[in-house]
This record gives sequence, structure tokens and C-alpha cells, in this order.
Amino acid sequence: MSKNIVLKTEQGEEIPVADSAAPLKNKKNEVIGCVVVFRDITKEREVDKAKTEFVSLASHQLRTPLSSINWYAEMLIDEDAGKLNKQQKEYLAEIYKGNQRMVGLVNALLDVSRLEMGTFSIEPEKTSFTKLIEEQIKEQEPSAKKKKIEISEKIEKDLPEINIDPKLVGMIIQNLLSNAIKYTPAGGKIDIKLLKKEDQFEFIVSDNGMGIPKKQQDKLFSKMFRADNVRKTDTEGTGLGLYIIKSILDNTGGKITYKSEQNKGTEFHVFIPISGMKKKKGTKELG
Amino acid sequence: MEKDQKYTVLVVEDEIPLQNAIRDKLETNNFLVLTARSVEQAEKHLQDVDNIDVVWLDHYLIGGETGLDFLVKLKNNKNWKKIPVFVVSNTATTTKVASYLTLGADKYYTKSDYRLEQIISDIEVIMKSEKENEK
Repeated sequence: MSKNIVLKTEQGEEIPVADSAAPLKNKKNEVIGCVVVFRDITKEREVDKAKTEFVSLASHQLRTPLSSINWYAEMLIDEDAGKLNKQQKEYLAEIYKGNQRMVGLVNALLDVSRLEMGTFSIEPEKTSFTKLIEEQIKEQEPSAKKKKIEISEKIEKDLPEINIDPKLVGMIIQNLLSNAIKYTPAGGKIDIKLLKKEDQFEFIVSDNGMGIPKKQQDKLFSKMFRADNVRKTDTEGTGLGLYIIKSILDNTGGKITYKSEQNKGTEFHVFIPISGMKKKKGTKELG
Repeated sequence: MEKDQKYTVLVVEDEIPLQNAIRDKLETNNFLVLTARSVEQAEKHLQDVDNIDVVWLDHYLIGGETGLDFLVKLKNNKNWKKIPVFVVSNTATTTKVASYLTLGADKYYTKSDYRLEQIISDIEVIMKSEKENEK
């Protein structure tokens, strides 16, 4: 059943409930009925909301000291306060990198809390999907080159513009591409495709990287999930990227599917209706 | 920017460590810097100094008024309304960004996502084109 079931009292008050059901069978093992149990989850919802709001507030407050570390490290690295020796430069570069990672994590946590509170906005505008992909490839090419990973793109020609929120779709492309780079060993290959299929756009990112273990695939889109094989090799991932992608698509009428085999690679397919996204007013934007 | 040309920037930022970092980086890049932590202080600078070329503006400030209130005052004053405004804040809600841009801010940056160098370089580009237009 849906996650958002409510029971209405005679007075019209709505109570959020969780449900579980079990079949009733006769001696011949035929199903003759069903027992459904509803449990009042008002308190759980309140606690969950308070937790999400706290994460949002804490993340926001963290941005000021993070900006301070960022800017002072930048000035030291630029030698605004005097010459540095090689070791000092290396140490500062680590401080800067560590701080950038923290900024990324705070931004991801803010995105998650906005998605969970439902306060994010959807601002569709006529957008070239192709251009969004090319921008992301350009941005991430340096990290792919560092690992000698080849990115090839196959984008259908003359695709029409589509009414989507460029920020949200940009986040989807960015997360899928950076995951593919992160989890593909040096010398690997990433293929990017964009095609129009009947009433939807299909965006595909495939790699010949580490893949996701079969027994963990059902948890792939859960919040903070990181597969056992990637935990061993990469300590930087947050486990929020795919959760954010799935939440965005669930909220905007899109869909994501995948195929993956450990040590062979992963393929993600994102479907976005050609009709685009519907505008949603919110107090916050993602990304 | 021409070598000896110095632009005057009014930095309106309430957090002292951030204000110091912005001031130092701007001065390294040959700008003259005035600082304020509240709308009141910022207005006083504008009244006292008549050659402020650009404003660097945060949203939350000391006192009851925000950067948005300051921008409204700036744009409603015939002497100040042409001064370019760069909003640099960590509270980037869609409505806020839209309000700043509608009211006439030139650009909006999320502090933690940008290097000082990047923002300053954007300011230089705008200042240069403003000067070109004046010629």
C-alpha cells in the first residue's frame, strides 16, 4: 500500500497510519478473507519531520564556518599571505579538499531534507537536454582524465527542447556521471546516450566498473546506502546521490531503472516524459 | 582592469571572519574596500562616500534589516540605483534569489560554493563593461 495512507475520523480529522495485512484461510488453504491492521503513526511522522528540520537547520548553519575555511585556505594557497614551501602547500591542499568534501556533503544533506520536507520547488523551462549533458561532461572530464577513463557520448541529433527544471536534471546527470567515474577503475570506459523513445526521453549512463553486488541491489536507492564492494575502495561517497535522483524523479513524473553485475559494470536508464515537468512552488531549490 | 584604476567596493557582511577574508582578497586585487555589518552602516557609507562603484551584499545582517531591505533602498535612490550589486549569501532559497534578481541585483552566489577569486573576477568583468559604456 501507499506510504501516505490516512484514516479519516467521523469528525473529519486525518490520522496517518501504517498498515499490514495477512490472508485468512480455511482448512482447504483457500483465502476467504483478510485481516488488515492499521497503526497510528502520528508520533513517528512528527519525530521524522523534526529530524529532517534539524538536519536542514544544522546543515545551513554549517555553511558559514565552511565558507570561512574555504576562503582563508584559498588565500593561503594563492600565497596572498606570503610564500609557502612544498609541504605547506600540500597540507593546505588537503585542508581545502577536505573542506570541499564537507561542503558537498552539507549541500547533499540540504537537498535530502528539502526533498523530505517537500519544500523544494520545480521550475520547468524550455531546456536542451543535450546541452545539459555536454555541460556535465565538460565539468567532470578532468576527473575522468585523471583515471584515464574514456567517456563516449551518443546523443540523438536534433532532439527538441523539453520543459524540465534544468537544475534538477543537471543534478541527475551530475550524480550518475560522477558515480560512474568514481566506481570505474582506471582505464575504464563510460558510455552516455540520449534518445527519444515514443513519449519519453531516455538517458543512459553505462560503465564497465565495479558493479553492484546482486544481494544488495534492492537497497540501491535507499538513503545512505553504500555497497560493500565500494566501501572497501572508496571512503568519500555519501550514499545520498542515488537517493536524491530517485526522489527527484518520483516527484517529477520520471523513472529510473538499472542493470548491474559485479566486476562487469552498471547501466542506469533515466526516463523523463516528453511532456516535461509540472511547476511546483516551494520555498527552497535543490542544488 | 587597468593597472592604476582602483574601484571602491562596499562590503556588507555581518560575520567578521568572512568580512576580513573578503576585504583582504579584494585589496590584494587592487580594490578599495569599505565595510559594513548592518544596513544602517552601509547607508551611512553611501551618504559619506560618493564614489562607491560596487556593492558586495550578504542577506542576513546585524540589526532588523536584511540585504533585501538594503537593495530596495539602493534601487529607490537616484544617486545609488546604478551601483552594481553582487549578493553573496548562504541562504539561497528560490524565492530569495528571484527577489534579489528582480529587484536589480547583478548576480547571486552561494558563499560556500564559490572561490573569492571567481566572484572578484566576475565583478571586474562587470566593472569593465560599465566603464566601457560610460565612454
